[in-house]
Formats: sequence, C-alpha cells, structure tokens
Amino acid sequence: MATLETAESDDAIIRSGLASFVNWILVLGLIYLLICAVGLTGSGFKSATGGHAKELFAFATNPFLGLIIGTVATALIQSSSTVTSIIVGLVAGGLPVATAVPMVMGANIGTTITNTIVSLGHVRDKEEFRRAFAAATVHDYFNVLSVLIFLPLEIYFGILEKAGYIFAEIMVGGESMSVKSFNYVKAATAPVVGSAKEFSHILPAPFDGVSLIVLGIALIFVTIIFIGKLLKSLMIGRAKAILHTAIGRGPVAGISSGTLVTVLVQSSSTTTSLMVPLAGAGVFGLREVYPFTLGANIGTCVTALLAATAVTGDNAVFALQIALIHLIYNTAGVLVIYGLPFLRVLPIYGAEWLARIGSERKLYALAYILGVFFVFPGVCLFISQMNS
Amino acid sequence: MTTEVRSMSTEDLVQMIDETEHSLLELKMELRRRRQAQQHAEIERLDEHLANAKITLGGLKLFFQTVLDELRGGSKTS
Repeated sequence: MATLETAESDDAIIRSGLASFVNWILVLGLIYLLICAVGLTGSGFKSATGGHAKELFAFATNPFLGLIIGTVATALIQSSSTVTSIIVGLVAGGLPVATAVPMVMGANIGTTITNTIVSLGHVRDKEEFRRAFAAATVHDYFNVLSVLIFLPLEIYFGILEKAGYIFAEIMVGGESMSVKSFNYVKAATAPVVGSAKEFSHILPAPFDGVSLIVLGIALIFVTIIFIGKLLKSLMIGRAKAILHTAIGRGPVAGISSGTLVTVLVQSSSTTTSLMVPLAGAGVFGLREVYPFTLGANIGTCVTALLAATAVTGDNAVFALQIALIHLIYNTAGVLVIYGLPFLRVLPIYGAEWLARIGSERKLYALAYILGVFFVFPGVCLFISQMNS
Repeated sequence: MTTEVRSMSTEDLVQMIDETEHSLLELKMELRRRRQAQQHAEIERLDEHLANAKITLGGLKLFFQTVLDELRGGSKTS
C-alpha cells in the first residue's frame, strides 16, 4: 500500500516537473514570438509609410497629444507593456523618438486604470473601499506627478531623449560594444520576420506594410497575455519568496520586490492590482503598498527592452533608446519623487483625500476615473485639434 | 493617580517611566510581529489573491448600482 502511494507521489512529481518544463519552453517560444512581432511591426511601419513616418505622425508632435495617445491607448488595452512594445516597434519603423517619449509617459498613466477599476469591486464596505481605492490611486497620483515634473523638462531640455541616446549608443551604436553583441537576436528572428515580409508582398503597397503592422500588433497582444499567464503559474513560488523577504524591511525592499515581482509576472497591472485587495483588507497599509507599486513601474520596462533587442538596422539605436527612456524615466521618477520627502508624501495625501471623498460618495470615484482617463484627455485632444 | 504620582520620589518616577516605556516598546513590537505574521499568512495565499486581482463584471455592476443608489438618495453602503 505504502509502495503504491510512493509510486503515485513520484508520478505526480514527474508530471508536475514535465508540465513546468513544457511551460518554460512555451514561455521561451512566446518571448521569441514577441521579439519577432516587434520586428514585424517595425518593418511593416517602415514599409507602409515609405520612410515618411515622421510626416505621418506630425499630428502627434504636440507632446500633450502624445501623452494623451499613450494614456488612452493603455487605458483601453490595459497593458503598458503591450503599448510600449508597440511604440518600440513604431520607433523601429521611423516614428521619431521625440514624438514617442510623451506616449511612453502616457502609458504609465494609462496602466493605472486597471488597479483603480479593481478597487471598485470593494464597494460593499465603506472602509474597505476607502483603503482599496487609496492603494490604487496612490499609483495614479505618483504617475501624474512624474509627468508634471519630467514632461516640461523633456520639452525644454530633452533630458530623457539625451540620456536614452547615450545609453543606447553605448549598447548598440558605439564602436566598442557594437551591434554585433545583439546579432544573435537578428539571426534568430530573421527567418520568421523575413518570411512574413516575403509573404506580405502578395498584397500591393502600402497594404503589405499595413498587414505586417496588424500581424505584429496582434502578436504582441497575444504573446504578452500568454507570457503573463504562464509566468504567473511558474513564478508564484518565487514571487512569494520575494514578498516574504520584503516584509518589514522598509521602502527600498518594497520597491525592489515590486520590481522583481513585475519582471516575473511581466505585468505592472497584475502587481499593482494584487496589492488592492490586500490593502482593502487592511493587511498592508498605504505606506507599505506605495513603494511596492513604484517598483512595478520599473519592472514593467523589461518587456519593451526585450522587444527592442529585436530591432536591427538604422533604427536599432532609436528603438533601444525609447525602451531605455522608459526605464530611465521610471527609475528617475522613483529617485526624485520618492527620494525627496516633500514630494514623496504628495501621492499619499492625494490618494487619502480622494479615497475619503470617494468612499463617502461613490460618484466622485466614478467621476475621477472617467475624468482622468477619458474626459480630460478628450478635452485636451479637442483643444489641440482646434488650435491646429 | 495624580496624588500617588506626586507622593512618589523622583527615582521611583524615573524608574516607572523607564518601565512604562519598556512595556510600550514591547507592546509595539508584539503588534508589529502580529501584523507581519498576518502579512506572511496572506502572502502564502498569493495564488488566490492573484486570481482575485482582476476586473470583474460583478464588481463593476455592484459599483454602478451603488452609484445609482446614491444618486437616488438612498445609499446602501455602510
């Protein structure tokens, strides 16, 4: 009897190990597809615009419009990783980096809608709702504050664009560390991207390029969703260990654990939404959740960075530049806002105030969501169109 | 209490403050330990929390129903 039980247990271990192995192979396959998808989007965009991407996106040169595009696109798709990966693909196809920077900033704001909507589910209990809504909106306040600080600096001095270019050139453009170090990616993705390009030529121009863009974006969507699903099941043990280690160790450990968990599950929305029910139940306080959500901002940059490695050719440096700008922007945001005590408390005060009035009257919470993510961007869009 | 304190010697008062501070510190540490134990316990249920950290139609419906109730003037939430 005991021997039978041992054999069954051994079988279960083998089955679980095999399932895990298969899932890892699938993750690697999906990452490969994601890299190919960004390559396809870039090639398609280049082909469809015939080298006139700059003129095509001339309407978005207004940085506020770029910000709105990034915000609304991410709020609708609910994945900043997907939007930034698409932006990397568009930059690879000729979209100017300066136009793409506000879009990336907007993606940060747009992604915060997910955990805010998740917090609405706690509406049954007023106190629980107040805690959950504050935990969700502290991320919104932080990201809006970050834009308020860095967008003017970017408009007037181009600091992020310059910093991103310096790092990107070191990585792919310089002579000491040339693009050769990334050539293995090109070699690996060339058959798929090349075949798709060849196949697309059965359509007349510019539909061949458009078909590649559609295919690339669809693949980015699907791969990021499935990578997230698979990694969630594969990395749950590791994520638990990271979170256990961070408990009671202060904000730096909170930021680091938020970063690592987001890298593991490949979704900042998942990481920040995870904290909402925990905060709602009162297990974690707002000040404990806050640094963790900031880590999510940094961790989410990995997907776009990975996607940027797919890009080759003249625009490789720019694709990597925009991915690095996202990372630099989010890291600098944490260093500046969380590093300076007088700025650090602003998102907390804002979130506490909004949660207080929102829990008293839910209409305020609804008005906030619709206002920040849709009405305000819509009004800005309308005004900018009227002025142009 | 005030009369008792006034009648105490300064040394006794200092000792009493020390003991109270020590007790307070111990109580705070116990509270912190309990809170962290609760956090560790919740993290053990991470898979469950991950599954719940999603936008649900039911949650949204309930929220909109609450907003409508509030607009009609009869808040149903506590």
